[in-house]
Amino acid sequence: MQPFISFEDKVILVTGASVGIGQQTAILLSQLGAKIILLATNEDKLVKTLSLLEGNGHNYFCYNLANIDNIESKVKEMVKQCGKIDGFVNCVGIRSRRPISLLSPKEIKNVMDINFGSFIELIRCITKKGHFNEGLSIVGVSSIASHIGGVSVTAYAASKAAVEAAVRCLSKELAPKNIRLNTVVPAQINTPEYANLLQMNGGVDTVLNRQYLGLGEATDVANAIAFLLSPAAKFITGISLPVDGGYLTS
Amino acid sequence: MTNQEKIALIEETLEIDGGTLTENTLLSEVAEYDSMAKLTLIVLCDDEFNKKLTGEQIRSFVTVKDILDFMG
Amino acid sequence: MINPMDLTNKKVLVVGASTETGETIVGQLLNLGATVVMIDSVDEKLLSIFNHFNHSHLKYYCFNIYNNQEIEKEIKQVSISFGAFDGLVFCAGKGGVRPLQLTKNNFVHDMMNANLYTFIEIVRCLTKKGSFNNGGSIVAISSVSSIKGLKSKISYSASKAALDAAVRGMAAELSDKKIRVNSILKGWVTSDMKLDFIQDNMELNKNEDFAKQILGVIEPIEIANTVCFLLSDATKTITGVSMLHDGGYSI
Repeated sequence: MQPFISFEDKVILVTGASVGIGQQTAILLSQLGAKIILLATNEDKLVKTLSLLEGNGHNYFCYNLANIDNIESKVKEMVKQCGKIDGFVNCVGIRSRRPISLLSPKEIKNVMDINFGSFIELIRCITKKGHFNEGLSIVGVSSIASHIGGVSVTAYAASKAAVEAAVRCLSKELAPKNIRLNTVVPAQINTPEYANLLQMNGGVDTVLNRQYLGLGEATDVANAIAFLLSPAAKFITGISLPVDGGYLTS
Repeated sequence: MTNQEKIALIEETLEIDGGTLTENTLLSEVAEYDSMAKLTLIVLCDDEFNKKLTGEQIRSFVTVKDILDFMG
Repeated sequence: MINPMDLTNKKVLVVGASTETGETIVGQLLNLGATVVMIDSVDEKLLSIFNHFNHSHLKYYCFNIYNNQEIEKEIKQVSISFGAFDGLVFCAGKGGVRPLQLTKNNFVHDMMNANLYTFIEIVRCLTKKGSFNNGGSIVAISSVSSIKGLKSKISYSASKAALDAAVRGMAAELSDKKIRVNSILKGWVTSDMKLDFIQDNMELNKNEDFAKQILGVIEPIEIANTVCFLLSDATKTITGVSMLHDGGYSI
């Protein structure tokens, strides 16, 4: 039987790979045959994630994407060491919760740089001639925050909306190179980050009232990412796919 | 910047194989020279040479040398 | 006769007043009875608009609106000089198209700074106690680019989408003070056509731009009317909305 999705020997970069959705995605893609390039800031966690991957030929890079200026040389190094890139999943992101009265320009810039600026720079460098293979597919992780207004998440929501808008433009611009880009839009997902949030809110999460399939798991998002990344989705580009247990349509 | 350096810069920015272009190359015969390439050139002239290239000027370019001359 | 868009006794701050759309908005606000304070970065331009209208309800204040280190200090001064506002119109910002390979971080940053950071910082400073009245309304000019992708408009689209998302966040947060926050997703306006790059951008996206705007190009006065509508009490329960005003572009 032919598998529906296979990434046999495909080189896939996963950023924010040491925790939550990023980690789960890296694991799933490795199970589907991919050679993963893990990228995150914490070496211990990267080593841990590497040990959870199936198969051989994976690599990891310890890098802080807030350092946008050096992304270009990092990507070059990556391609030299691991080969041309077939897929890129961007799971890096910081959550920022700040009331508008404390949302200084410095804080906004920090959130935008990590959640949006580094994503664009990574795409710019990966889509350079010689850095990617035919059929490159890119998936970004957005958030329902970009669609629904929430108190004190103004900068975070703006950064995710920026990601989705850029993906719409880039899907058009990069179509002649046969490169596809999409985003997934998760709602509440059971990750360590979510556990923190729940603790802060005293264990109450009103979002779940509208998320009628209940709390999502990181694997739910990873599955959606794998699908969009795969040739099975070769006619899908520029979209924002909600993985939200019904939230955005409730 | 010498003309050779400028040609190399154009080749790199427009993702044309190195060594393809000469001063006399007709732009109409360069497959990569599409509307996106023209826009790229406008930005390149602005960024690297601090010169504003208009749509009208760019349409008047015939050979690679016309671009080099504009870059100055 | 009643006028649901009456703005008498409302004090409105217009940021980016020296653009063509900004100037038209100022004119229409004055027509509807508002007191207007214009803000922008170039003194002469503001002065010429001020002289052009020659209206007792019009005032202006000049500072570099894109230097976000200065905004807090300057907005404080504005609030001391002119008192609390009932409305804010943000029609400043930057355009610009650039293919991905030349969309480097400094370009992205400039665009975000002009279209997003400046807006958030002005709202942050202006909604401090005593500077903005409860029940006030904030309107930002966004673009249909926020929801539709075009080649080489990566940064611009992203900045406008970010602006709209910020509008939703602010609307949720400032509802406690009954302050409303909305944006307008404008399509092609006649004044856009005079800008650099547009010609080339049109060539780039030729099959999808003008033809798609099935009602034709928008006049600045039409955008001004939509701004006044969202500022007025006629819309006092509309908030967090990005209203399309695009001549049918996005259909």
